[in-house]
Amino acid sequence: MIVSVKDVTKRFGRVVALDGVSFTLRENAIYGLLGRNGAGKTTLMQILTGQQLPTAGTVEVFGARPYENDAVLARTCFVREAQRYPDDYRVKHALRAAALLFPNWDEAYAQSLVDEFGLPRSRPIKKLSRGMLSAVGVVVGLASRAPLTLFDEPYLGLDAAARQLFYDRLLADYAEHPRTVVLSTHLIDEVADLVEHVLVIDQGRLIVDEEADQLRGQMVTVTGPPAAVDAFVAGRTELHRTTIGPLVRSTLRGVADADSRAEAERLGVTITPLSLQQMVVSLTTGAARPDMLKETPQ
Amino acid sequence: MTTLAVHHRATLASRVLAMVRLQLTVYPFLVVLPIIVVWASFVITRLSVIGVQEPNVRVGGLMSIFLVQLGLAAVGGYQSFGHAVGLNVTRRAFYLASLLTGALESVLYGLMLYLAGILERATDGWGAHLRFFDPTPVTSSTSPVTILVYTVPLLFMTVVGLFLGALVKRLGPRNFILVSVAAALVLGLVAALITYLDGWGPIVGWLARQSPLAIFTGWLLVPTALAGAGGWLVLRRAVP
Repeated sequence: MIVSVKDVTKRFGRVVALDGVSFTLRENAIYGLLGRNGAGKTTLMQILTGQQLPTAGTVEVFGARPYENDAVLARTCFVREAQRYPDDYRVKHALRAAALLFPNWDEAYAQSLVDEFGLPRSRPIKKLSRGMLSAVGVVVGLASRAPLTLFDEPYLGLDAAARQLFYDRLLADYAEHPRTVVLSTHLIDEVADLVEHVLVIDQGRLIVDEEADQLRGQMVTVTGPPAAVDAFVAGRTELHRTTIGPLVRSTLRGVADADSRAEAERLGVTITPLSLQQMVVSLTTGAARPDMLKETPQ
Repeated sequence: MTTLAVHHRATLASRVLAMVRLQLTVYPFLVVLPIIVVWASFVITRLSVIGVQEPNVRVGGLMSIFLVQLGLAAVGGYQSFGHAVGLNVTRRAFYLASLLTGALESVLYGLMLYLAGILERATDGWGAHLRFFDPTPVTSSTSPVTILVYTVPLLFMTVVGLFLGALVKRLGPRNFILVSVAAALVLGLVAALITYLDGWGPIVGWLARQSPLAIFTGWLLVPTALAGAGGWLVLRRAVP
């Protein structure tokens, strides 16, 4: 366990950005930190890296408080969506600065990433496109090889090919140099196969803290004629229901067992596992309640 | 597969040194800029006195290096704080590194100005009775102590610049202006109070009793230390 967060609350005036958040991060795992805009993801990462202080609660990173802790912060890399650079910096300056600040920096790897992302080394940072700026952050985050690396929306402006390149390089480098990676992202489906553990924050509260494998299949949709769906749903936990023309789509808590599938086939309804993204949308839009994930089948 | 153990345990000293290296080497133009400005100012001044017969032409172009250092410390400090702390440097390491870098620059520039002053006197004011690098009696000495006459005021400007940059970072530009106006009002009231109490006489008398060398190299360190402490108090809770 390299991160321990206990009952952390952060208030900005009357706004409660984080509300009693507790979780741990283990060594060498990729975490998905998911949630809607303004849910508190960035604030949480700022607290983990000592950039903000919690109003209440305790945070330990590598066994110590991260705030103003040189030993802890030197082992941590936080790639922020809004990373600032001095006005006159060019791409090469940003990389040189990172090389001086991260003890595990791999210069050859950084240069190969710069080539792969097509970054112009001599272009001023302030003249980079949004995607190129994100690519600079991705290069710094990957080449820093920090034992705890946090990416906050690292893909903004990156096209699909560049995002895939990021995911591929992250996985390949993670396999070669395992570390703990936290990916805060909105593109949940894109990272669904990448993350090993899922943390979902909604309105400052941690509502899901589950292994990704356990989470998958916990929710399904059942689609079919209303009478057939009603018959299937009877005795099961229905989380949400929508009507699409003559059909009804019902969201249910995990019914992936063989008996349920046979029953669905008999009734003429279709069972589809909810994707991670659909699950997070359901949980953070009020369509489903987080506690429903843990209820016992009825 | 390689485990990512950090090869050394980072300490405050190692982080400060990394930041000093960053500030001096990543974009060295900022270190050279004050030198360029003061010599450009000198060249313009020298060209402008061609044909002027008046001996001992004292000019204020030397001020340019002090003002540039103030501006660079304020703007550079403001900008590099967000960058460095965003890359997980502690505020303390950043601030100590900024002070150390400023001190190294002040010594470098002080040495340069001292040597330029010696050259100025040796060449009879660059062949034109010009007193650009050595404009005052306190700078007219070959004693190495004269280096401090340049270095301490440069350090003062650096630290004040860092303090102002820290204030802008912590308060935001709008609140910084409001606080500046409030501070000016308070200082004005203090000055008015001193006038009301007939206090200027003793203050001026005390200053007159100090040697210029003591003021430039000794007493100036007091407001420098105050600005340095103030900068840290402002920056210690600032967010990048």
